[in-house]
Amino acid sequence: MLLRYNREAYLELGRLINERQSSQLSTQLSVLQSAIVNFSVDHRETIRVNSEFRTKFTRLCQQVGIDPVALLIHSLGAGISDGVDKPQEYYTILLLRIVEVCQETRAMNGGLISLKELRSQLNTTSGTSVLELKVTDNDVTKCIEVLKELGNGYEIMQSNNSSWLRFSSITGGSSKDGGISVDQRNIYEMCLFTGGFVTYRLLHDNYGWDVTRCATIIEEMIMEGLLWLDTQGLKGEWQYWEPSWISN
Amino acid sequence: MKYDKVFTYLIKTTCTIAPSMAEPFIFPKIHSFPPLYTKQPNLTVQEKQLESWSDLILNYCQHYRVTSLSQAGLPLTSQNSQLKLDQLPSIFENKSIDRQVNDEFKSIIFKYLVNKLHKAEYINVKKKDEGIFVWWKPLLEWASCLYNHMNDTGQTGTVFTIFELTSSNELGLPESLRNIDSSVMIRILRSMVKQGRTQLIMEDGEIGGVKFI
Repeated sequence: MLLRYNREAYLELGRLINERQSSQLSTQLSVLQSAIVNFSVDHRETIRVNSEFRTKFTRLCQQVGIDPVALLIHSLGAGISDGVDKPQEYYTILLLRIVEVCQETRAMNGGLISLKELRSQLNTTSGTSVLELKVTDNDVTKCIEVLKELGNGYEIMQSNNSSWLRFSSITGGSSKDGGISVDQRNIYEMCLFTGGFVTYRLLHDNYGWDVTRCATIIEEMIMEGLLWLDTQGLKGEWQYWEPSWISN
Repeated sequence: MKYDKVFTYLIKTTCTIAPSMAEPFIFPKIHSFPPLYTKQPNLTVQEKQLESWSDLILNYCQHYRVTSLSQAGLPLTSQNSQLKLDQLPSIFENKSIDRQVNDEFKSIIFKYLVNKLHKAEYINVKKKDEGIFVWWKPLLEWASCLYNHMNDTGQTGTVFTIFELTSSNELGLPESLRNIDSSVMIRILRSMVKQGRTQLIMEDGEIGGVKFI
């Protein structure tokens, strides 16, 4: 009986010690992380110019769980208010990150992401809560302009007061010109209107499309991952959903 | 001096931290996305869809400490004895949007969990309709947590019954190892036999006793 009592007491004690140690460690880690973030801003020139130093600094970042690319974006943009031009490097690196996010989320959203979602993805990928990026819509727009110069495939769409970034895959796919067709745009607009989906009936009643036209465009968009099929609509009607719904 | 040993044991066992189990599981937003319940014709998208289902099932089971699911996706066993398993929210049906996964797609999802992710196992490979064990904690990890406990508390060499290992707490098991269903416990023990850490004593075709070596 006494032994059992002791065991319970020690279990509790052990749990407390574990908890305290782990909370102390995580405090120390965030102190170190914020020191590194500040350092990267104060010494950004040195880091930029001296490649040996930069390599070591990058390695240090990785070891303590800070994403070096996010840190670079942070240090290059630090202290410059929105609307004022930031160094060219800032946009180049941010651009890289935007392309990364687009590629990573492509299977899920089929290549359409709201700017709001894109910004929140960009701002939270640093690996630590100590470093929160403050990428603005202006920044993203500037980057997309640069991307456009590099070739078609990325384009900003305005619809119902919200902005979306539409990107086609690097490997092509069936959107020949890389942009969106008028029919696709109509479908997106209908999706925004209905809260996420279209049906043959809706397309027919609103745009006068016949079955063949509906089938062609919907089939194409399903194959590109731009629409998901749902066979359980009201009265068994098939609905075609626009997948960026999930992240918005 | 004896306490020193207890101390080292306490600090070593990270297995002791038990999550809170009372709160309801919060389903991710995708659980309310109607097309999730239809098998997607685009194979790339379908792969993503299967990943989403797998994540959801693993998180759900871990949250409620559910260790096995029926073929229909209903919880069969849980470590949390206070839960009423038939009252847990349904995994494959979402009443608020009136959608559910059909049987064919359910078995595809389970197959993905078993064969592709190796995060689940058929309870009976020959009769897949008996359901699956869900390994949100890998089988090997279950085995080593259990073995370490028995070893650290000097309980190797003693013979235990399955009942003692699962239903009582004479063994001073940490919370994370308590109340494991006997079907799951037997699966864990069998994996330990292969590692040479356990011997099973058979009686009339059933496990009569277990000895940790």
